[in-house]
Amino acid sequence: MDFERLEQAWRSQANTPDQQAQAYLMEQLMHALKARRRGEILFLAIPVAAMTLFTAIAVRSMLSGQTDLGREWGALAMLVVCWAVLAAVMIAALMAKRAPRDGSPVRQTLETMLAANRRARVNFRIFWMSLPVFLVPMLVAVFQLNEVGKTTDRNMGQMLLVFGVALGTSVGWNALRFFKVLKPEQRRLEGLLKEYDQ
Amino acid sequence: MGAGRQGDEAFAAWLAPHLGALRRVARGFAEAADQHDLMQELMLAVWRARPRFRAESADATFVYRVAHNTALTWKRGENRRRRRREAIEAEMALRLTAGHAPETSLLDRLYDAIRSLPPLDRSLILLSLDGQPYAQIARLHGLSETNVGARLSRVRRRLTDLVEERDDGL
Repeated sequence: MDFERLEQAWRSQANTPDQQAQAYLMEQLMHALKARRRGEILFLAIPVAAMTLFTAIAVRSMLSGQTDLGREWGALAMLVVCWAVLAAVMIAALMAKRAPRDGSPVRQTLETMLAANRRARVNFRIFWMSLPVFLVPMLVAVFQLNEVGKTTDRNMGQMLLVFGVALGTSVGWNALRFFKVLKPEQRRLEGLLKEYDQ
Repeated sequence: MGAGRQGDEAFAAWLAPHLGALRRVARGFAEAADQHDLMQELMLAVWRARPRFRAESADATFVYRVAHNTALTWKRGENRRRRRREAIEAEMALRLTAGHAPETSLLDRLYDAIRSLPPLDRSLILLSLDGQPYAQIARLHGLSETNVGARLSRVRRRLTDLVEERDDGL
């Protein structure tokens, strides 16, 4: 068999979706776009709504004089850290969307992706090291609430348990992402780039 | 939401002439069960990249660039069972319409052979089979034209052997 025979088959109608198949693919495309749009809205709306609710409760509590900021500043610090993290995540998502990687050669794109992968792995290590940034305001807030008599010892234990589980889940999720996503992606990208040099 | 929907429809109309090319890339890079998944990824990748499209390059060149970028770095989905069912349904829908062309069996073997090539060779041969000139392929991949030519000669020989092997196996 010669290559021309393969080219001939490639150019045949059998290798081009007909009208019915095109219509099916179009339907799939519209469905995918709709799902994507819904996903993006949820990605933005759920955390923003939750944080707005917590902030509104905190502001109301401060305005009604139920919160003494001098003795309960820990909760405010915790809220600020959460908003800062949320903003950082949103900005990172927007920047990733705008990354102008489609105009450059594929090889350059792969190099950019490998660099991004390296940065993500570094960020993961920074996350580990910055755990005290989350832990300190959380512990301060919980103990301050107990000191001013707003929570019992039992409440404090329950709060620490809930926050601890949430933080543990976050650490576990990041560890999973590091070993199951970032490391394999790094190996795949390095393998692809090696092909260019062969 | 109305503007979004109108935008989606305009995008779909713009993409329609390139669906065949995307489908060929999906078949060249993913096994049958994953082609539906990759096809969706390709269409979404072009949709995401479209705002950055500048009219100085041809539509087809832009679509090829995004599609090959995506296909090379695509990773098989994790929710395999659900996707497999959807993929089979999608494949059936496309098969029914692909019809009874005598070329179908040869194409199946050809795609199977392409998928067994290393990813870069896969991309090069798909572009070449779609009639892209060496200069275009070289620019798209960041390789020299000579390098593309040498690689494609080797890949063509290898591909012919692989298809023949699959023919003998039938």
